[in-house]
Amino acid sequence: MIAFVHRALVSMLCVCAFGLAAPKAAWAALEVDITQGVVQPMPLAVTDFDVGETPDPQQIGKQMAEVIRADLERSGLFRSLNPEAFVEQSPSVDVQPRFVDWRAIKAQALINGRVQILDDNRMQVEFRLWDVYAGQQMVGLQFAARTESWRRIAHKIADAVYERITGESGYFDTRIVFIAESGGRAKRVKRLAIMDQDGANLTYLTDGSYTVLTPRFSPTQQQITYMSYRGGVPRVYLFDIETGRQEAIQSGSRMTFAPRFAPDGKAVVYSQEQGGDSDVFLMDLRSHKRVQLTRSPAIDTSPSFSPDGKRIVFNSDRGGSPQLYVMNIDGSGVKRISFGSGSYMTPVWSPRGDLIAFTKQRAGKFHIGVMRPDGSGERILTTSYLDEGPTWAPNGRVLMFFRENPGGDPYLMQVDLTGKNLQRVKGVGAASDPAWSPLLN
Amino acid sequence: MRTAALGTSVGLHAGAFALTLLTWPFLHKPIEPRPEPVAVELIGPVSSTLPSADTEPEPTEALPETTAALADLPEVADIDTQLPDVADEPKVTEDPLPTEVEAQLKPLPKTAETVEAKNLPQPQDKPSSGFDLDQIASAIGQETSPHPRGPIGSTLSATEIDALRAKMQRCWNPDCGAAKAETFEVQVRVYLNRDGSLLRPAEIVGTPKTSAWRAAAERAVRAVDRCAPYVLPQNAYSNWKDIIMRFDPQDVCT
Repeated sequence: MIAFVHRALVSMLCVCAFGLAAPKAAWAALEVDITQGVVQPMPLAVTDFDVGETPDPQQIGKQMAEVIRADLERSGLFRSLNPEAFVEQSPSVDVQPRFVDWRAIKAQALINGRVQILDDNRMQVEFRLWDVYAGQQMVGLQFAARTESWRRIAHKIADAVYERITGESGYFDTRIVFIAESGGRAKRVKRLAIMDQDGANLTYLTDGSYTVLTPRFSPTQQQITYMSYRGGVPRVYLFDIETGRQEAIQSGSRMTFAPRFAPDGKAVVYSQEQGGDSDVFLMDLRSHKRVQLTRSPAIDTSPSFSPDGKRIVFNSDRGGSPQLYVMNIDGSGVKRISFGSGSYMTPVWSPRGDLIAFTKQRAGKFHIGVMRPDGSGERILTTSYLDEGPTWAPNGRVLMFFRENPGGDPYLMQVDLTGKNLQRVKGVGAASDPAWSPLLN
Repeated sequence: MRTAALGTSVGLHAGAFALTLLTWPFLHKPIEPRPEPVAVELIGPVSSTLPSADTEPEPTEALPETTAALADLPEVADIDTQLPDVADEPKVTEDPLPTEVEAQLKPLPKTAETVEAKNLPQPQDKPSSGFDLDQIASAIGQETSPHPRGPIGSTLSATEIDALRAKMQRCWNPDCGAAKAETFEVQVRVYLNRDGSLLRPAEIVGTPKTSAWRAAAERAVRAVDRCAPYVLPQNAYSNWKDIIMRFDPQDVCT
């Protein structure tokens, strides 16, 4: 009897379970897995900014749109649609766009804006980014500034658009320091120069009376460190952008070179010549206390911090050829990470920490490449007669470097992490050793 | 004599020293102009409540200042309510994607339909009060599938699902440059009308935890929007009216 009741209860439970499950199965949605896609720039429309009735002799509304289009397009993630195809040239920011008009030209996003030029040489700019398919505003901001800074506002708008659509920070409101080169090969003049990331507002920081190499930005944006032949001995200097003051970080006759700031800007890591070879040193900029991090009878150079400040990647020929090594901040735990054929040089840790960029020389060619900090996942992004000295955009998605062809002058190039978006940096002539600033405040 | 010479020497040295002091700043080239970035002030977000372009624009209001603008920001739902109904807008006719997929779909179901056709009741067998998809469809102004009709309640064949997948893959544009892009698997729930248009905006399954994940999810939703409308067999509508599309960037982005 007990057995019968037990069997009956089990049967009822099974029926109940089936009964509960069955309707669920009947209503289950069809499931489709999509594992392939087409990686291509997103088409977007940037209309000339509306200036209303305000006199705009500089055509700021039009020029701002052009800067935004150029920034976004240069990233390789966006394709700016030709304004001639727009149904409306400068749609008002006070009403919702007619999304159907923008869908018709296959725009997936729309940016419109308004410039109000005020009396006291100031301007107020607002913009809106629209998701054309969803018919919704994705972001809208307004800025105020003096009229001469319209380019910076345009870069900030491009950054806001980039950030909203990619979910990662932009890199357009940034600057580049680099070495501007002029004169013949026999009498080369190398000046420290600075410009906006799009090549505008070029300014020279040194007069060319002494050679300057390998400039690097401080995370605080106010300082640059570089190696200079000023005074005869090549030494690492600090340069204050605001005051123009420069000082050697170390006195004495030792050659110091290849400096880089720590992520907090309070220390500099660099190489120092040590009787035929070189080692990596770390100097606290306040106390000027120095710590020697490597002690090998080899050339250890090009140190670069990880963004968390805990590790340093550097280049050493201790294994017979220049390769990349990673060590802890106190010099312990040295580990080789590059094992491919050829030489690896000028490593730079990505600001987002996931990759290390490098220069690679192999079979008579130079390459810019990236690998993970453990040495895995090596990817070559460029190939040429001479590609060298990568520097990361602050969001870790784009690299700038310099390229030189046989008998030609060096010039600046940039490439994104896919390697597909390779282009020359416009607005600058003969140039080498670029270094990207953090995002400006 | 010696005293006079010493006096002359001291005088000359003092003069030289004074001259050096006076001219010292001019011996150096002036520092180049300081290229300090010019200040740009972010005032704040602009209000996202706007009238439609088709309606008479409201008089321009003064722009809200920082805190006021933040306080005035409406909920996202407010925007939705003010948007013109998508269904009211003219259809975009240029999208080549549905046509391509339609062409792919047309020859596909032959085998299955041939088999199923054997079991199909003949037209005269249909009860007069029965469910007629064509009549209903024409009554609501929709076209039925161009395909020979299978039994109501059929499911999409593997080939038809492959064709739908192929269509989605042409509309999906993942951002492989994002950090850890290959890990951003996104599920989107898609509700469709019988004519293959979206019943309502596709829904992201789960709550985006980061802005990068949200961006990836929005790209998946955009793929669903771009691919619409979906031309699928009418007899299997109950099968495809509710679809979970899983966008997995692992293969694309590695």
